[in-house]
Amino acid sequence: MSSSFYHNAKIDKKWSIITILIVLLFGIPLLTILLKLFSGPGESWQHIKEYLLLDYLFNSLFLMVACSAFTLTLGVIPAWLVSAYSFPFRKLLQWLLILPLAFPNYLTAYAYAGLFDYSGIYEQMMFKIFGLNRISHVDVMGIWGLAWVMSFSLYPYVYLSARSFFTHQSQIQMNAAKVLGASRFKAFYSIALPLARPAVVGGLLLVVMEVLGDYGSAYYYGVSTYTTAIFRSWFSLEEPETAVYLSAQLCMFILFLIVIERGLRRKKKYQFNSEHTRGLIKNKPKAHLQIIFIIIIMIPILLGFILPLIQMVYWASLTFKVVWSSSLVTTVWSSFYLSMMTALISTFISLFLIYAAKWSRSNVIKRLSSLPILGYSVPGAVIAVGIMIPTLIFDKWLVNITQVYFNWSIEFLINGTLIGLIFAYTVRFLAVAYHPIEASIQKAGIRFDQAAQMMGVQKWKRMLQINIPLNKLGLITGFLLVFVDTMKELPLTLLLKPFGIMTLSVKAFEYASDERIAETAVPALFIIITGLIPIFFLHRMINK
Amino acid sequence: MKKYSIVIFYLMVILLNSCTISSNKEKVQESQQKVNVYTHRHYAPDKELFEQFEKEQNIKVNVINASADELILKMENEGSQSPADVLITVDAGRLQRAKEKDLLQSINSDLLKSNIPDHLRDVDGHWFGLTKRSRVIVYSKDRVTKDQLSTYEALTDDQWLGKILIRSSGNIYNQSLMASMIANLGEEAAAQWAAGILKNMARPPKGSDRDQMKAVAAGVGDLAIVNTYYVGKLLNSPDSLERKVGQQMGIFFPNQEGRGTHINVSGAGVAKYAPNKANAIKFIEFLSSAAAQEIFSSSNFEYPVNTNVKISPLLQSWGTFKEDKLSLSTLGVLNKSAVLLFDQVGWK
Repeated sequence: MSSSFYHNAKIDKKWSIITILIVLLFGIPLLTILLKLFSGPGESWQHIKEYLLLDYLFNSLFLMVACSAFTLTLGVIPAWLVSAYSFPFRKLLQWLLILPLAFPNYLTAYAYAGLFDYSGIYEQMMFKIFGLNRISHVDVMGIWGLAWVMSFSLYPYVYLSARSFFTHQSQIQMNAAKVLGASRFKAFYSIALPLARPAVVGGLLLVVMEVLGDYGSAYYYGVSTYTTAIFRSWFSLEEPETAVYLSAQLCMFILFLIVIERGLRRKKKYQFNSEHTRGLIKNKPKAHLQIIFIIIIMIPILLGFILPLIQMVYWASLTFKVVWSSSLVTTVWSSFYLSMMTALISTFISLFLIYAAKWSRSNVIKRLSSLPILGYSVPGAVIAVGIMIPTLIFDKWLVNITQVYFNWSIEFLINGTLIGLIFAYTVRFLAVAYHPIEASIQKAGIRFDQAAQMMGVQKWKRMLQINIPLNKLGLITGFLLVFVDTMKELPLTLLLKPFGIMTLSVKAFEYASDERIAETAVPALFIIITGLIPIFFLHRMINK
Repeated sequence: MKKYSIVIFYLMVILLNSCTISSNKEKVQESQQKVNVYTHRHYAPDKELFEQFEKEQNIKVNVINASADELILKMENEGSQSPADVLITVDAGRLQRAKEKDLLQSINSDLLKSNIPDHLRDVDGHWFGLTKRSRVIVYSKDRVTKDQLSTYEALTDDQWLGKILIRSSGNIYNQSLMASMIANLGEEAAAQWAAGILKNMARPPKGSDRDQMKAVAAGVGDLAIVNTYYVGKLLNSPDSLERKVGQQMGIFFPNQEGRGTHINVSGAGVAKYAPNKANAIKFIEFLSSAAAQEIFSSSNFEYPVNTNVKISPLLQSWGTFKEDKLSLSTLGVLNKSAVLLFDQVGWK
């Protein structure tokens, strides 16, 4: 990138100041956590190190590697097939591939456990059809089962970022490959795939963060992960210091991964001569190949969405009468509203931060601007604490000040309000919007932006008229991911939600923690349906 | 540009909408008495009871639901500004922890004292048990007979090798059971007990109490250690196969010859900085009343703490039992030791 060009540009103080303010706002909760690295762990650290850590580390690393491998396979291959080939039902399938995202992964975990336990469909089928009893018992609740469940519910992150890349993949390189005699398959793995790396790795990073931060499914499946250690030291051993210390370490590890990825990427330039960019021409393969493609694509859809959905619908049919009440409609609305706001705010802030970094000539700004995305690597409950500590200080101060100077008695401004909750969501999910948007901008390049700048067009105008339309797909992807993630979010919501507000995920949790798993199906289906509405509309926008 | 102005318009509508919602709520709250409840319990009957209380006393019940650990954390951070009036948990250990963290205040209510037996409430009146549950042995009626069973300790016997199902040590009910072991037998014997159970486990610990019983039904093991009311829930499940699981289970109350079966309570305390203290006391008194206790026990399959209340037919069918009279505060005091011991023997 022609950074020298920007050295000549006038420094725009306003943008830098806003960037710094945003980074500070998002940085405070993270700093609160990271600072604990220096104050050291509590006394139970020795105990954790001696008895637990090795096992927990091994499990977490195993899950990370296994889920990365699975989600790459499950995400990239279908993404390529739907972008490079034309076959029947292609449009429908490429839409269906996103759907597992609408499932909170702990619910997929419940569903799988339900499918395979004693009263589950599998066991009953074995019994009724084959007369097999007990011998055929399949235990999904274990580390492999967990890797399976997580991969099938998380692969859409990889799929989405890969597809948004492939869709804009230039035909030129493919033509060049063809002229040189390469098959389309060869062109895929030696040209398209390496080029797609930043996008794919961005999606993969989200998967890894999600896997490392997961608690619900791992706890239910009896797999102790690093995050289990965080919760154990926090709640069972009553040492929040140690918990936060462990989270800070986790955070550093993710930072390390990000730095490595950036370092590797820097060596190669991924920007294209986009004047000649034309979308991929979709080949029409032979009939038998078409069928194979459809089958390949159906695998993740079946195992990640339809199978758990069947279990959910079955449960819901049993429990609908008990669970249904008119208040559920209000619950759906508040979930929808919270997710909408969070997604909008996260998308805009990500867009702003990325361009602020690109437009700034200060290295400090460039580095700082990607700091806020670390929030995703910290388990929700820990983020909640990182937010609670500083904001409570602020709230208490505000209450006192207004009491003393104006004699008003006000309530907390941030804690236990919608503002606080949405802020917390944004801190946690910024990375989810940031990665696809960044990958898209990386891809689209900034040449049009530069041209406009030469003509003296103001930044905000360039943003509205060039950069937003140019990166529409990336922005939509980012928005969608945050929306769906917020719908599913649990631990943060539990700690920070205001009185009188109920979300679908909290509703599902109430039943789950009461071991009424079947009853969770009704709120879970509402989560899925509510998540599907924006997926559907946005998808139509993309395909227009 | 038109598109963007539409988006901005919608945003403003949404924002305004949320403003009016919140201001309406404030108005309602100002004119009405209220009590703010932080609770780990989220059973449907609880909600019915809260509504009944609202009607009878004209006091609005505001509820925050989360796990006890998270609620305690929230109260700690909120400090003297906390809106919480009442904390409800499903385990005496957590109530004791809240007391130790100075989050609760002492309440002197004759009504509560007469409704709730001594050993089921805090000596200083910081918390009060409201429902009782016991952690029992359930067994497959096909493969195990009652006379093979005696005590928790006897489960470490080699005859149960690969037969026992129990959930992970991260679960509070197991931690409290372990704490009672430490209190009754001492640390060393308790650790030996845990190691013995670990040796006899049918599979690594995972899942919920219900899952343990389903695994017994599936033949993974023969025995499970679970809370009584989960058996009731299986027996009343909307799923016919789950009811079948429940029907296959026999219930055994261990240690009847000795100290009695381990019990625990879910209970409530008044928050130290409760802004509506009087309402909070009324609320807890209401929950301990005979009428409320009957709903508690019959629809959630728990035992009432109020001895004037008749227990439900299902609970009667399981028989009466001798309960471990160990002070429930001890469970909280020994909780951490319990977790450390679990880790040392390798019970995940």
